[in-house]
Amino acid sequence: MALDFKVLQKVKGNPSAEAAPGRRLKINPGQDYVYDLSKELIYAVNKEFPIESLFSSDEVRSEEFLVKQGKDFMNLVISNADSDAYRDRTADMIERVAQQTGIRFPHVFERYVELAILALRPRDAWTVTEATTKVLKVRSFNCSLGKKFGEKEINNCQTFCLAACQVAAEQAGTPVQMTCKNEADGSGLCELTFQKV
Amino acid sequence: MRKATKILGKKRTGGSDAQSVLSVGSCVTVVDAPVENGSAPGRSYKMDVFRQRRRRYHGMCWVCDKYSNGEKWYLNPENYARRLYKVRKEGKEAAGADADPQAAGMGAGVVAELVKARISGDQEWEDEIKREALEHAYQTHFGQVVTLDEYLQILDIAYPLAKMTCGCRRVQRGMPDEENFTCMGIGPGMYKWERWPETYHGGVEFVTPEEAKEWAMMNHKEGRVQTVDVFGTPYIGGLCQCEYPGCVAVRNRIDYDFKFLLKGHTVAKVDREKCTGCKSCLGRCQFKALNLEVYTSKAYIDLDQCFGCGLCVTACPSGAIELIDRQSLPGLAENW
Repeated sequence: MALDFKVLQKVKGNPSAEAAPGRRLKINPGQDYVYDLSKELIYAVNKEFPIESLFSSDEVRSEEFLVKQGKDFMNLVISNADSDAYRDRTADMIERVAQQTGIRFPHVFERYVELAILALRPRDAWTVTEATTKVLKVRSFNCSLGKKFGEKEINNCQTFCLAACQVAAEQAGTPVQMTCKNEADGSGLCELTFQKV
Repeated sequence: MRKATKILGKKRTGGSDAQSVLSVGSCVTVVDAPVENGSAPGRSYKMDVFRQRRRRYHGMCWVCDKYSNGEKWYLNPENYARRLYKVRKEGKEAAGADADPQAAGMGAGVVAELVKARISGDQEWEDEIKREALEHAYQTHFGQVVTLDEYLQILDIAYPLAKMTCGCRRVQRGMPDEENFTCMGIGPGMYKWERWPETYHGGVEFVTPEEAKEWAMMNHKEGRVQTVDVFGTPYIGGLCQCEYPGCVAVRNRIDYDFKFLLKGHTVAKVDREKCTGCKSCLGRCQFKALNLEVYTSKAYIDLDQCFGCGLCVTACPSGAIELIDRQSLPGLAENW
């Protein structure tokens, strides 16, 4: 144990005291908030960005086209998610905590990434495998978008996702280094890793 | 009360390996013992298994085995990560009533029944209550003691971190909220804390990892045992700082041997040469493991009772107490 008697003797303070003035949040009685993603947001995004439109031309094989589509898609998600119509209490609290602590990564950024996944492929199985203040990892199983790319024998689906995430990182104000690891065996297993820069 | 080690089953795989599954209380260990091809599993085989078992007596707790490939499960970032969002549901579920953290309760709801069983003297009934409650608890809500060092490491792999009031101390000791910010809610669920006004009626205070570490050390200095708490195994959603008898988990474990709270991965050992008999450590132990040996006037630790929290280590001015790996001691390796 690195911490010993001498180290602990120097520790002063009352654990119940506020870490900083005005930091403590209290319940607002009678408030009824919504926290999760509204289905209407999914409908709204899909109406403006039907996924089939990605594959309607041969341009889908071009990297430039996928980057543009990825950026357009994330911009659409963000504009909807942050609109008065769809903004939820989770978003408010994430922003408030970020302002109080000065820590914006991972959750300000992660929120956009999660909403984008849910809006694009709401039935897919995916999970967050690491979410620290330094690293965020999002793992998808049997990615339906990846499968669609696979059916067209296109293997650069990550270009679309990484471009979308780049927009999310810029919007969140958290520069990140991104990598994408997907299985070439067609299992649809894919992991996006975001390292805070 | 410790249960005797039982061999639950043996099986042969591929004609060359034998696998024994050992179980004590809540923990299960799988010990692989190679068997020579063609040899009959007679006396020498039994000796081999015995030797292998003794040599490889890792006694890894089942949570580590299942949720962290044998490494300490509570130092695995995966067990702190959760999605922020799901698609909104309708009705009662939308309000999050199904996931109220306070409803979990560390066995508080079962204790009344357990007391009845104990008063009746019906040991079988008591065992059955514990067995059924633990079966459920290990899938949903239980805790494990960690050291201060481990706690500080956890504060770097879990986020967000929110100081909150301790429900146990509020109920058991009537602590006013403003003096009771000794618990920590962690992970994305804390962004939705307002869903459960009863649990968080004292409010919450989001802190940075550095602020949280300072706060954890204050709590440790004040003599609270540090634990991780699961909310839907293996997701760790809470870090508690407990004391006997205010803490429901510690009390249930000490008074009723109710294993909602698992022992830590270490045990404390006294260096008798260094111990001056100053008694600084005696009042720190929440688990009745520390005594002063009458004949020598030196601290004595009952290893069977020790939960490995390390409160005694940091109270010792002469550095006479150290933490050692529980699994390095065959007699304790499976005593969780």
